Amino acid sequence: MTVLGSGLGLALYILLSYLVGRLIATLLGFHVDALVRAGCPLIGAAAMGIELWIFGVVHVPWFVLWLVLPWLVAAVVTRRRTIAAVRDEVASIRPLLSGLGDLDPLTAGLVAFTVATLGFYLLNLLAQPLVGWDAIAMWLFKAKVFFDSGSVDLANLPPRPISATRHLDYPPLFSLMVATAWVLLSHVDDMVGKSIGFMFLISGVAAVSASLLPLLGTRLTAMFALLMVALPALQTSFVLPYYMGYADYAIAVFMLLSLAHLYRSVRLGRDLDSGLAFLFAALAALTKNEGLPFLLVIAVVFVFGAAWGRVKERETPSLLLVSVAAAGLLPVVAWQVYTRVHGFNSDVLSLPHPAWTIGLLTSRARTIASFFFHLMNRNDDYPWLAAGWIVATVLTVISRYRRLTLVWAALTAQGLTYGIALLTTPNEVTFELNTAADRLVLQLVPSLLLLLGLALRELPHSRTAERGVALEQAA
Amino acid sequence: MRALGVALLVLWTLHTVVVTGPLLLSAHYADLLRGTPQGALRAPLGDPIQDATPAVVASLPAHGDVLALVPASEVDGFAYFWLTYWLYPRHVEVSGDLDAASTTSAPGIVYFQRPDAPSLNTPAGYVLRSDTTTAGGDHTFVFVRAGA
Repeated sequence: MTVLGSGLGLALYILLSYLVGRLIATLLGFHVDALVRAGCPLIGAAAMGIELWIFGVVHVPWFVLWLVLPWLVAAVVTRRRTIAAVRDEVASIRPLLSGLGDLDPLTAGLVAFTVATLGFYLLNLLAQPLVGWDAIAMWLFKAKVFFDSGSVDLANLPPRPISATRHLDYPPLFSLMVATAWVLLSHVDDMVGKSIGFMFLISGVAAVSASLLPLLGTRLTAMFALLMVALPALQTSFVLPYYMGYADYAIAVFMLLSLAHLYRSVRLGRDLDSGLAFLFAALAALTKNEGLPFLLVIAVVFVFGAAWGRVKERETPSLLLVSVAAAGLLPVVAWQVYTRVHGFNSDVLSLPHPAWTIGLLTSRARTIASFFFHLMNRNDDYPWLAAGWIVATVLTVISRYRRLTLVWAALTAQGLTYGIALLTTPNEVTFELNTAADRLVLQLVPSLLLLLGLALRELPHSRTAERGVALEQAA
Repeated sequence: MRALGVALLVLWTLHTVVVTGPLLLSAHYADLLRGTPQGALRAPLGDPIQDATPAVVASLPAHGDVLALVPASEVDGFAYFWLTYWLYPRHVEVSGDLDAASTTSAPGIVYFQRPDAPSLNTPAGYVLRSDTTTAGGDHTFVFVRAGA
């Protein structure tokens, strides 16, 4: 298919994902603001992917008609709310457009650069051939298996050479999203399949902008949006698609959305944000196994919060919150059970590994520290990322908004998890650093940008901060 | 401290524009729009596997097993993943041993021959379906079982 054709196919997939996600938000009675809208494409894409998963279990063919029919029926049955949602969407566009016209030249320049970079990435995704190692070996290969069989079933793959690993244990969501796009197009389209990461980029930029605009104003938010798009650390997903890894940016955006809603949840105490924070964490765990510890961290935060609310204020979690959490957790548990039943699971701790002596751990810690120290010499992001984390940490410590600490703690805990994984890996640590370090850092970068932005909000006596709090509460 | 944070943000933004800007300015947009990007990325494969793949896919039966004979250096590399993806749903066995062609029961055999590699006569029970030659002198032979 031509670049234009694949572009139209991708646009169709992203638009349908947004509409389905928006419909779900409407059906659940969510108050839909800019941050919720930012996550709608991913909610819709995940919902359709899981829908196909269920279709495979109950032997419903993977045809585009069956894919969209349940959503059409739901929209018609709840047409009053659907029509109100459409009016709401149309009404939200005008302020956005008029806001663009009010930008000062510097901010307009930042926005223009960001948009131009987005366009450059999109062209690259649609024009460069599909050659990426993990895309070929894992993500799009599994999407082909799913699409061809009409089910999420990896048990019948032929015996593979011992030297070849496809990480069959990796969760299926990203591959299901690719397969969903192919079902929509009714055929395999490699360019569309390798380009769905663009949907995550749009959601990520929108989420950062929606979270920071009420707090920091237009110009600083525009800078964060530019960083979110143009950082060299993030370009590996869009400009150099032959590197190892393909779903790292996807899990990065899921974690970003989870933390954005977590922050709003602890600031405003809304079940909507609590539910979405947990849902996006569950989707991260359904994308890559690195999402499992993140989901655990978020779960601990909410269980503790629920217990605190019960003890102090005799509050119980709402039925909506429990339902959303259960709906997010169920596919995660289902996949983990599936991999264990079929022997795909990769429990790293049970694999043969060198004895974890103090000497070994110390040696590995030195190797890891040396590796990242040398990264600081590179003319790209690493020194800036380190400085950003340090500044965000100091601002969080001295901030009067103590609940920002939860976001900092969740992000830092995830980073520490990666460090522990590198320390205790059964593989050669140098190999892991050379092939995985960049990607692990990439997974944390969007959330680090969000944390830095949240930490930069002015002290509470300033007008900007007071206006930001008022905007949040009014929303 | 907040001023320091804002200064970091501003400098970081400036640095990013300086690093990323040349990428945008040096891109050949016309070629990208045509789908023929300059300096198109190559798979981590030796020649001629990547270039010959579309023709191989078109020449082989749509289903069944395939024996892919590749240079020995490719056997434990990316070739297995590459060929199993593009030839899916066919089952692919990758080997560097030409003798496998005489013992396989696969309906299709593909031989990616470099210029200095030995020749392979058509295995018994098979017919030559296609023979593709590149400018570099690589050959790609596709044999299918007679009657397939």
